[in-house]
Amino acid sequence: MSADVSGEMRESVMDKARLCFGCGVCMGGCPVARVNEGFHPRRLVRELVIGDWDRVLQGEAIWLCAQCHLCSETCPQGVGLSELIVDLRSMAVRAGVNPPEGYSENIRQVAETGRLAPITSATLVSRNKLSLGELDPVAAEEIRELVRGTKFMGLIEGEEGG
Amino acid sequence: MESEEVRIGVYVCHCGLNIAGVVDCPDVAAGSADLPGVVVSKDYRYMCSDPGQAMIRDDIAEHGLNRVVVAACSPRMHEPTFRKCVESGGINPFLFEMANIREFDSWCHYGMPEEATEKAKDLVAMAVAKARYLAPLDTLKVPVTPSSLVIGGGVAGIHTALDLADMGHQVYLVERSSTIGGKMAQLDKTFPTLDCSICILGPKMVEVDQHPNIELLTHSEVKKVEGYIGNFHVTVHRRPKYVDTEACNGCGECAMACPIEVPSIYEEALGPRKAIHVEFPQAIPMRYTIDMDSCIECYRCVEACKEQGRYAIDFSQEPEDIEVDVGAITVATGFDMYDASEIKEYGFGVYDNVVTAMGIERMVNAAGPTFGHVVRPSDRKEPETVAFITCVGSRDERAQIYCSGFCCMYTLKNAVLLKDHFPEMDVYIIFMDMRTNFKGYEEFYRRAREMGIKFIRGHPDEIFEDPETKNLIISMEDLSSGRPLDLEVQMAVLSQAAVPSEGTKELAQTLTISTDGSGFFLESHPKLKPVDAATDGIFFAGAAQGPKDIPYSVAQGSAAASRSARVLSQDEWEIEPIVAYVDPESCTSCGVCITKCPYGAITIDEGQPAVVTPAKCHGCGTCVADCPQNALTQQHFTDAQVIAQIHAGLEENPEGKILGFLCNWCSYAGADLAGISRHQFPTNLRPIRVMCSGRVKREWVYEAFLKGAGMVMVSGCHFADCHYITGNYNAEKRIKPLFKILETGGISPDRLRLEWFSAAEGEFYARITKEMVAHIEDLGVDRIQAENEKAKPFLERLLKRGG
Repeated sequence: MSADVSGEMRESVMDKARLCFGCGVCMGGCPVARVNEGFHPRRLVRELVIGDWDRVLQGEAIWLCAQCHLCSETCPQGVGLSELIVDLRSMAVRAGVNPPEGYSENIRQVAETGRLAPITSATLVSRNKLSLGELDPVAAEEIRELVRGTKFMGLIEGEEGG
Repeated sequence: MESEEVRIGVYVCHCGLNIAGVVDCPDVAAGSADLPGVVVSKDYRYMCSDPGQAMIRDDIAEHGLNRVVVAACSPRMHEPTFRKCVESGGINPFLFEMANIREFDSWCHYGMPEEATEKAKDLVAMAVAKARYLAPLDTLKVPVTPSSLVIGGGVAGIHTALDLADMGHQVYLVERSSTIGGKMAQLDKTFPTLDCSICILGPKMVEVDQHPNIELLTHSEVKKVEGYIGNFHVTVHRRPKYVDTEACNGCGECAMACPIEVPSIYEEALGPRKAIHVEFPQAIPMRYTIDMDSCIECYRCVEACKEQGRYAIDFSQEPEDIEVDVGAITVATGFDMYDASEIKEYGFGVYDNVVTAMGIERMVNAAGPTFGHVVRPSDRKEPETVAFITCVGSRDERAQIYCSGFCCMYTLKNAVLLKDHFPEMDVYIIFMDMRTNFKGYEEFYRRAREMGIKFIRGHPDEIFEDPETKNLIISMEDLSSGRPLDLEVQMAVLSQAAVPSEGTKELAQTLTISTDGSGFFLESHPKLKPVDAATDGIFFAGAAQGPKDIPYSVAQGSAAASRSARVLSQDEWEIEPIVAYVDPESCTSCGVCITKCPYGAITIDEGQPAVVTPAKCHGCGTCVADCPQNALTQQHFTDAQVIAQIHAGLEENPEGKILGFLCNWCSYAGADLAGISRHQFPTNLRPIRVMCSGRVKREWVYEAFLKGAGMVMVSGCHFADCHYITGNYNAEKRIKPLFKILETGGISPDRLRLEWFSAAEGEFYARITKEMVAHIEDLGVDRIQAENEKAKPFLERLLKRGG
């Protein structure tokens, strides 16, 4: 399946990616790359520069980034790879790629409860012990409304077109 | 020239395809044939070539031309060429005008040939309109003081001073520190030949000291510069050394007696020096200096000196100002090493064993703080493994975006010295690209590999310290294998970037010259005038203009001497007669002009009209614009000439156009750079060059809106950067109230822009032009027309009152 990449986003990603002069600072410091050979940030930028969009958007790599932003901090050319990866994930989803299961779980959690992590009774006990006080309420209904309006769940679950 | 019929020749240059690739040159030439006063119009491939210039000369004779307009490159490029050409054809050189259809048109409007051709026609029409009002002028001749000022006593300044002195010119060499020698005096060896640095520099320093034509002013800084080419008046501020340089013989007994030790800057703080000191044993002049920040005034030095039968120490010394007159100035203020602690992830200043390149340079020197032993600071043991890391602060948008040029080579040199002195040592060079592009340099790189230095391509993301061993773990990607690498070494050496030397900005303001985007001094032309400042009579040598290695700095030092001698060897120098003059009939002796002139060029005797001294007038035109009686005129930039340009530029579709006033030194040069850099933006702006934003009259802005302009831009140098010291301040004072005034008349204030940008800000010019065009489109032609229509009687009233 050819990736359907929206032009504007693609251009803005490319504007940054083409600044790369291949020093490898992103790779050297990447905590994920140290434990997972499937993630090679410098090569990810190379694939962008040579235009291998299918490989980037269909591949696993963009979902492995831990978003620690170390690469963006130390990049001498301002590529800002960690920010590009956020855009690449959006582009992948728009192109019909289903994010790995962990991501869908998180998304479902937010869409339904308005919170990233479930609040269990154990959470509340811990909070109490730490004197953190009551949790602020979240506008769960408004968030559900927003998610419905944007047809977001359809995007990630392939139920409706994006 | 009213009595004479105006006969103008117009010549449109193709500049190969530089112009003709975008602009339809024959069409522009044909279009200009109908302009009033034009009797001949032609286009040709290269107007600046011999046949091109011959064409102009022949036409002057054949058609009886008395004005010439050339539409080609920027007047900052070829105006002098064509002025000479028309002069040799028999016309006064000031009866020539240029239309800039390359930097201002074809180069910044790719892919829009029709609009670019229309703009070219307008630019030619504007030049022709001005040409109709041109008057012949006589060049001014000023006397030349045949002496020279050289600022900075590093290897570049030393060569400028010696060359000029050898030619017989008196040279004042001003040096901020207490000795000349600069960075080169700190180096152990030089690449790629491994000559001992001080051994080759030392004799040159002695030569400076002994040269009868050189007056060396150390511990001194340039405080004030007045005047112009051939006639600079310079005030040099000398800080006290507290040692009588006549009486001191450099024996050093005082320093031995001194109980105070502080880190030596010369030794990169790796070794001590005394409060009374010379920087290094070969210092010139070999005279001691007391550092009052650390001296406790115990007077043991006084005693020690007395025991030698001398009385050289003098605590009563005061700072003094020394005034000198010179005909030319060379700026050779060099560079500083970048503060490596700014790149936090490398831990310089935090981890003991991370040192700088200059630090290792001092260590490896046999006369240095460790007597040639390389030791790691944590335990003073010789390291078994050392890694050099390049591009620390260079090629990094968080620090300096540029490549410092010589770091690859000095890194190779230091690594080779280490490997040579300590063959058992494991020496690594971590690099992104190896830049070895001069004579003998690539061979040196090969030699380094042959010696067994290990090269790892990549750039560390971070350095960690093992708290037990104080060893360093360098985290990086080994680019050649694509794998992450943790390289453990006992010492790491950071190759710092070269940055503009401290005080560069202030000196630029003192000299009223510009710096570039990186903060180094900006040359007049990057190719053809690489050692000239935009201001005549001021030159650059060495790293002050951008990072340079030793041979390049020496070559520039001699180049600056040669460029200076071109002036100093003349009895008189011709300067442009674009000065102000007073119409004594209209002058009411109010004295406003005197307050506007930063050069004291205008005087008024009681009850008499003002008088301009032409040799003192720099030709900014600020007094002209602020004269309440319109009694002042600036030659070659008269009101009639500029108003003719305004009208011609706005002849058609004025609502869609921006009329821009650009100052010659910053904003015009910045706009030129936008073209040279090929920034692309719409064609709507119609530029008018003035020498200074201070020349721009309110009436010109009124005229532009009255003529229907969509927008007007007044632009000049950044504050404190004005070539005429205060011109832009006066411009701001005059133009700023216009926003309110125009609004009263019904013109949206955002249709006037007041912008300050430097000769280095081409990108900025491109950006604001796009912004202004977008604003015109937002407003729409109808609204602009309606506003202009409504404001018409108001503007006419203002003009009547002003005129």
